[in-house]
Formats: sequence, structure tokens, C-alpha cells
Amino acid sequence: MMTIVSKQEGDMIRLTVEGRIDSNTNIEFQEKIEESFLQTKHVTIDMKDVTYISSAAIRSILIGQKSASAKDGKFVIKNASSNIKKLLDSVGLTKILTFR
Amino acid sequence: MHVLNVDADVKLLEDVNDFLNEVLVPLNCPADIQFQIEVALEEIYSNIAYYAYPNEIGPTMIYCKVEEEEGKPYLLILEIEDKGIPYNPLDQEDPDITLSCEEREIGGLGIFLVKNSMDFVSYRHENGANIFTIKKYLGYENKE
Repeated sequence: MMTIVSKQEGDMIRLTVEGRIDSNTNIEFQEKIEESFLQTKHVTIDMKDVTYISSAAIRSILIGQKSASAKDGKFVIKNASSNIKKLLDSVGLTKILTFR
Repeated sequence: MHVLNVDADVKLLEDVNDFLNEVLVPLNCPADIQFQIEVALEEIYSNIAYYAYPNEIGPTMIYCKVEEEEGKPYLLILEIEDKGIPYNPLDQEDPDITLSCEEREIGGLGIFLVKNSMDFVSYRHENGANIFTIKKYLGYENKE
């Protein structure tokens, strides 16, 4: 189960995600990231209520960061749990991503 | 020994997680270790769905065993078996995780994660089956 609430805040889109981002729910997660970058160059993902991410979600996060870099925008991951941060770190993404 | 017979279909991922939870929750497995095991099992299971059975939905067997030491859960052993196309995910080359964002490839991170987070991984092809084994110590943090 996962829900995403998308909100425009000035020139930034905030995606507030809740639940598990796995091989199934990641399809929507990736779509929302791609859609957001079509509309703006700054995207923030609030992961406060994300309990789980799989490698599929990591791919989407990398796509988000690449989109931001290509547009000279910002891609920010907010409130990720320590388990999620550790997972992103183990694939070398902490030095590429911006955490708040 | 716990056994789950499930079709390889990512839509059934919840059944796979429920099975893992049934084993791990009564053991009071530390949350960070359970998280790593869930990620690893999803990776292997979804690989089977995508690559071992690319054009159909086929069967998967998941065997789970917990070894004890001095009466305490010590080591989790998961064997994931399918009868699909012979496929060794460990043949994949590791991604270069030192590259910059622009140079990074999108794919190839999943199996790398499994190798990094588990204490033992192996693959064998036996009697027409792909058999992937992972082992994870349950009591303490993975060595840095």
C-alpha cells in the first residue's frame, strides 16, 4: 500500500509519500516523479511516512536526481528513516542525493 | 522449516512478505535487519518473475530456516527456487557506485544490494531449478 499527495509550492512540487514503495507501488512513484519534473525543476519527496523501499524505488530516486541535474534543479529527500538512508548509502547514493 | 509455494508474480509480493513476517516477527528480529532481508527477498523474487518466467507466470518455492545457537535465533537461511529459464543474477557485474549522478546507470543496483546486505549469497542450477540462497545473521548488525 502506498499513497502519494502532490502539492505545488511556488516553483517546487512536494510529493508526500506514505507506505511501502515496492516493485508494485513503485510504478506510481516513478510516474509521479517524472510528471513533476515535466512541470517544474525542483522536486521534494517527503518520506516521513515511508516504511519500506525496494531497489525499484531506488531506481526512481536516481531518475529523479538525474532529472534535476539535467534541468539544473533541486531534488530533495526529506525525513527519510535511518533504514532508508542506510540502504541508499549502501548503493553510493548519499553523496549524490540531497537530504533534509 | 517454513515453506511457501507461490507463483512468481510481483502482484503477490504481499504474500511473500507475510510469509517472512510470520517467521521474523516472533523472533523479535531487529527492524534494520528485517528491512534488509525484505529488500533482498523482494529483489530475488521479482527477478524470478521478470527473468526466469518472462512470458508466463511460474511457480516459486521459498524455504526458510532459522538456526539457533544456545537456544537463541542466530542465522536466517532462505532458499528461493524456481523452474524457469536458468538465470544466475550473480553473473551481473557490480555497478560502479563511485560515479557521478550523470554517469550512474539506473539499473543493476538490486542484486548489488543483496550481495552487500546479506552475509552469504549463492546460486546454483540443480535438477532444472534455479536455486538462490541467502543467509543473514539475526542478532547483531552487519559488519561494517
